[in-house]
Amino acid sequence: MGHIIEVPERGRGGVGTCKMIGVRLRGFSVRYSNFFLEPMDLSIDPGERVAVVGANGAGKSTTLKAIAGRLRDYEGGVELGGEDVRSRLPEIRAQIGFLPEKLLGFGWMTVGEHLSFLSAFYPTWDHEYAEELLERLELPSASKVGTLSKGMAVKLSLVGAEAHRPPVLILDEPTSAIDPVMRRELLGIIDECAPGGGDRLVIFSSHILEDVEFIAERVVLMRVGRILEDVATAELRERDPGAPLSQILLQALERS
Amino acid sequence: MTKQAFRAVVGVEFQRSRQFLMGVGIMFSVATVAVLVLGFGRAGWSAVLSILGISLALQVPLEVAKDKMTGGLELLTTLPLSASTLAAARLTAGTLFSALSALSFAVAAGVAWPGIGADASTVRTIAVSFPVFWITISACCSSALGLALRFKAKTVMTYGFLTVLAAFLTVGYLYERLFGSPLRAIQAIMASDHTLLIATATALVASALVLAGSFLLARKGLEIYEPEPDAMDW
Repeated sequence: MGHIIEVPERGRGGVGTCKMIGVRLRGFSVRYSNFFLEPMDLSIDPGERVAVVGANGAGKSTTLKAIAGRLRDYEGGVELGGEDVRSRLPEIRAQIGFLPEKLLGFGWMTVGEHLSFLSAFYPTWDHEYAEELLERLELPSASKVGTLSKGMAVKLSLVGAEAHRPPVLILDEPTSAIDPVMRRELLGIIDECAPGGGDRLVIFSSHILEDVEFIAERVVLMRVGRILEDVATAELRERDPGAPLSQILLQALERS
Repeated sequence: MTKQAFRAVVGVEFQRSRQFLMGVGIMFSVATVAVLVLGFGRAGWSAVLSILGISLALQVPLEVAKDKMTGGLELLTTLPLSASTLAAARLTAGTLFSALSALSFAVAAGVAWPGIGADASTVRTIAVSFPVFWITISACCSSALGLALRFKAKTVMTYGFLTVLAAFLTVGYLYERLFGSPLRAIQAIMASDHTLLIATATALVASALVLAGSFLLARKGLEIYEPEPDAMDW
């Protein structure tokens, strides 16, 4: 890792080039008045789909924000494609698709205007692909952003994060507070957009263990500001063959 | 930072300025109507009520103002957009909008004057002073933002000088018209309609300079600034 490799892009919506970018955290640590994230090392390669799992307050969102270039005050280093994130801001954000916990946008814009606004910032924005995603997710482009339900807002966030085909896709609690049908639909689309073993990297946080089972190939278990375990889902399954992964994860969290 | 992205932010900020001004404008209009209804033709009352009306109009609830000024900022700070460029775009939109608003108001006032009548001098003074104040406030904000953006010292001094001059002339003109000048030496200057024109022109020049500076800054890619990691206050 440490280099950016350009390879022919796979997936939907046309052919282009996609940079393969890995993520590396070296001694990454955060200290707030009421929260301390212990120094952690983490390395994620292109093509990996990693779930960061833990209860509320474990430090999942903080870690994801740092990787997405939305956190300034921390110790240690966060690298994308071998480059320090903080020293390459804000340009490096163009390499990242970030789906935040809460939809960020102007409530008075329509869905179409919102996406059109976002497209101005990303040279690789694919308008056709964005349209296709909108149709697929049944998002009416004339709806006002401020009137969208939680589920629709998440869908719109996903389109915004995905339409410029970033090499790194970061999803912060993408399925929390949406119904199971919509959850499965959303995960299916994420699975299609960034298939495991491809050239893109997906990091997502969740406390819904079934989501992890569906999409992740590797799990980082966190609890109260530290990493408990960083393990492949295949290895987890071997611990209790036959048991659902969510159950094994729950046991691991309870043991800690 | 592409021109396209800069234009997109200016467009959004312009829209937000419009929404903000609509809220402020409604309050301002209500106060103006109150001033006109209560103060018109009652010598001695009109000045007090005018000031009271303007004060009331400026009492925009702080939380509303804050929401309008910071709303959407979180989205903007997640984009590949530096804090300096964001500030420059907001400044450009704000200045542009203020200038256009003031111009519209001046045109409206010009149309309305003949109907108001030549003897309604207080009403006329207040009406004329609105756009001038508007531009002056805009120029003041621009100067402050120029400082925040670390414009070069000479540029900031120029903005500052023009702003202070415009504010002094405008306030002086309004004060003289409403209360009469306590200093006879400057009464002649303040009572002149030319003063108002000079104040307007000065404020407009200040705004135009800031506007031009913002565009130049954006075109140069803000290379004169240190890289700023983020505008978020986590």
